[in-house]
Amino acid sequence: MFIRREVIARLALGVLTATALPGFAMAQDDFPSKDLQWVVPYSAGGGMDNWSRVVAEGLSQQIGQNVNVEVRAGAGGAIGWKYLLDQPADGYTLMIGSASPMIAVMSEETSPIKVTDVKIVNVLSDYNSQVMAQPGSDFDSWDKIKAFAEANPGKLTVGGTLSQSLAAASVMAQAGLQANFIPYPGTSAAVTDMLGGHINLAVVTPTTAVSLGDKAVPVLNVGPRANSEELTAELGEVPWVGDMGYEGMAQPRWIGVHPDTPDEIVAKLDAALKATLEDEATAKRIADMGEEIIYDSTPEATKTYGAIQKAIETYLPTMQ
Amino acid sequence: MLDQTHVLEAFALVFSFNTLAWTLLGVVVGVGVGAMPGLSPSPAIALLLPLTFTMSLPAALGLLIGVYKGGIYGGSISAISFATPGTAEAGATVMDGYKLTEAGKGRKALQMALYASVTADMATSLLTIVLAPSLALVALNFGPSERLWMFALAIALLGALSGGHFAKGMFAAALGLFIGTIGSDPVSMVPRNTFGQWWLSDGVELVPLIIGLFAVATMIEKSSQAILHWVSKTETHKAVYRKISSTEEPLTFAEYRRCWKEMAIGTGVGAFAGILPGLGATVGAFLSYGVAMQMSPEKGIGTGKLEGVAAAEAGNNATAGPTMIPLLAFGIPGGTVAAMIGGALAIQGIQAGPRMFEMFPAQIYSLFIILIVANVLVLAAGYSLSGLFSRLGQAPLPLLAPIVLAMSMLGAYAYQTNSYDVGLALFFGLVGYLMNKAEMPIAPLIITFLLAPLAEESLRRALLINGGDWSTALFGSGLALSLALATAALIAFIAYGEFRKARRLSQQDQDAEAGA
Amino acid sequence: MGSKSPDFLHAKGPAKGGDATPGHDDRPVGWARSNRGIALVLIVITLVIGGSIWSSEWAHREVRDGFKLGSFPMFAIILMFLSLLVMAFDSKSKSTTEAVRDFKLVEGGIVLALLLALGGAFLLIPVLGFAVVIFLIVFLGALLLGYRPVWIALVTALVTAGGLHALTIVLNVQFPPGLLGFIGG
Repeated sequence: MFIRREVIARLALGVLTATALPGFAMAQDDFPSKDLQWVVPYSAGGGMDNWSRVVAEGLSQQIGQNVNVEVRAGAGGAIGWKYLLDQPADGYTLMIGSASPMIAVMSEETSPIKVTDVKIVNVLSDYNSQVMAQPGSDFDSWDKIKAFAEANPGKLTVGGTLSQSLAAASVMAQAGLQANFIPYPGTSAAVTDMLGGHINLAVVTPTTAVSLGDKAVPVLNVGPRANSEELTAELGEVPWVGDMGYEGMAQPRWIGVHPDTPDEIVAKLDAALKATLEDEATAKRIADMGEEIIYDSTPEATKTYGAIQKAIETYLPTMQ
Repeated sequence: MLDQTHVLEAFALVFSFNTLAWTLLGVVVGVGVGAMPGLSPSPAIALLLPLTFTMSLPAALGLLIGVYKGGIYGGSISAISFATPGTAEAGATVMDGYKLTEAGKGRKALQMALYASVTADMATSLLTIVLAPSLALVALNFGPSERLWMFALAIALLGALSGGHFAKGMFAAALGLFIGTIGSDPVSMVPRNTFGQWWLSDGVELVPLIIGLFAVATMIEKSSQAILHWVSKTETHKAVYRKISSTEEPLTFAEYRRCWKEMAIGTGVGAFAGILPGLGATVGAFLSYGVAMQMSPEKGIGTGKLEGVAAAEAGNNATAGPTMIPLLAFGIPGGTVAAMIGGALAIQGIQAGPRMFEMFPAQIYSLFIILIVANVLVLAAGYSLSGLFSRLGQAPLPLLAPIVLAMSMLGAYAYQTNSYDVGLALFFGLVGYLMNKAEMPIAPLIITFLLAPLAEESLRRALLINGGDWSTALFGSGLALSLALATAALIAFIAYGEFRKARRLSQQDQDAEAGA
Repeated sequence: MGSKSPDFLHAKGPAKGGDATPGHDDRPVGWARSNRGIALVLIVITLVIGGSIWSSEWAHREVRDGFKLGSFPMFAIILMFLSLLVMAFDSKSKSTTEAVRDFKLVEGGIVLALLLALGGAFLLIPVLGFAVVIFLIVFLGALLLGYRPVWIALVTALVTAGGLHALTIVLNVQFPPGLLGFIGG
């Protein structure tokens, strides 16, 4: 008897929910009830693509629906972003991003996208940009760099992609040093020129730093936190700007959805992604790829996004 | 230096059924996709990359490298058979390749393309294996100033590619330069010259450009001719495509040997284009072609000579091994495909870089062996497949043209999943059509489109590094100075050649007058 | 009196090395169709584009290395202009190519129509689905170009549509799904 009443009550509630409440409330309960789309606004086969596929696979196991990775490159990330905005705000389309598409969108005046046109779900990963120098050169320690830069303002050449360079630029500005930032379309080109002695320093990702082995020496960590134990094991002790009183810049991989997506759905996505990162198999695959998991929940991630946006606003004009 | 046990282990890894099967599959897919106009192998590689998660490393490498090498060769099949390069780098093969087909020598051309590709590829793969670290060190000496002169040197070769009418060639080059500036300023990354279109902020990509200028332009032209004849019911409309029958003569060894110089040029230029980051197979092909033309004007490259096919095909395939050199030596990929191979390694937990050799020797040796094995498989597959694909060129135009056009649109879209690329392909189809009508050569456009932005980047970077000082930016090192002098010498040489040609022609005029 | 050699002596001859200009035809031809005419048309277009760049706001924005955003585009425009000037006045300026001589305006119209049709077909993919559009392009295209018998064209179109559709699945290429997207996918 008791049980039957429960069942009836549930049925009644179900019927009420189905008929009385607006459509998307039902969708919330059922979310996700069909395949998800994961947009990668970067070139196919690249780091973001690989990363996305690993996480997407884990995610689809968590939520029981397929997660289709779609690479949509072009216009510095704006093409993929625009696609996201053209989809319904129902949480079924998400996009992975970093500082790069933000910079692209903020540089293009006629862009149909504003950098605020996204709702951040969370941050899956982050890394500390490392400044590298040639071993045995005049720049292979932070003290030497400072000495040189103070004696020769504007002569110190630092190469990297725009997002990496911004991290270094913000630190240099905080340290009161004047450096000469040389733009490169990719980290590899910058590293090659640094190894060849054509520029003094290069700003790179930890993965690149590790793979260079003893061909290059890391002199500074310009990220928002000290290097992890694993990274320190590979690279040795790298001075962190935080210890010197400066603020480093994050390079987060954020997940975003359409800005009008209801918060409840965002919360569900956040939880599912968090579970994915905590799942052993996925975590192992990510670690094998040499990447670190640094998770920020929705409110933290949104703050980080805002911080990056501010950093870009402040320092981008100096690079243009 | 080579560790015995690891080398043996590597051999065992590669010569397993699994690895060989995947490599063969890769080669077949590569040749097939490459041969299809409109579809290019690099998106195929990118899309196959995730599949390699579950495969063993040698199999994964075999698959990807097979697709890559097969693809570079495959593009030549449709270039030769029906004047539509299947890949960007086959664009340099069209010029002589298709003329050979029209002259009834299509089979020879296809075989020349295959043998030249494999020969050059083998040579540079061996070079890669033996010399990777040392070559990489040489490449390091090329900073922005040096690279600037290298690009200038390459662009100076354009003189050869203008065909008969210098001014038209120069205009095509200037147009390519203009198209290359569409996109973002290399220093500030701010969009420029985008005609107010936000989606052009990354500029025009090579793949839609090539699809448009070659595939769409050719097919649209032939289609409109067909419609005109159909409408006006004119009788003879000439056989649109010369058929390549299997009763045609195959290539003789003597002919193959005759082209050794061109293959050598292709190997050398291609190796160079492969090692230096940012260039690639397309540059390798067009440059080799240009150099070969310059070096032996008497051979008539450009009018349908096997030498032309040899130079172009050797030039593009020669880049395949060397493009991995920066990746192997420093872990820094020098081009898109090398980056993807690096990605495949990363997925398997191997960080590319100098430490690879200590940490994963067997795997790296297996990479080397695969470079060679893939080559051999390209030879085998190419031999059988080229006959098949060239028969497709015999399909009647009314069927062939719509199919090629459909594939072109798919290819342009699939490249970046970007609809605007389809629009660009169609637009450049119109441009290519008009250029062909006015007999403006397309090759100079492609070369400046590829090289001028790189030259601009290098120049501005050199200036930034040197604080705006033009003299150190341009001539700051011995290497830069030598390259600058080489460029000047080349320009003088070409100018002199043009001058003598003009004098000879006007001499002919005068003689004709005197005789008349 | 200048070179008055009879025109037929300059007509298409056997191609030698990089010398000859295949297809170049020195027979007298209307002014508009000569290389000079083409050059002048292109000069006008180049000047228009150049002018719009020069008068635009972005072109004069200075970049931190001293160049302006419009520097290199304008450099290209200048080179285009110079090469066109040479083309308008060089030795081959009065001649033309075979293709241009025989060009009928109708052909140009057909080309534009074909390109627009293709573009339109692509835009219909969200509505009709990829496979359907490919089928239509191949089938209607073959018929338009005069292919008969119809049934072979039909079969070829079906095979092509099926094959390319399979390719998009294998390569995981996504098209914008549309109302009838479920048909062709």
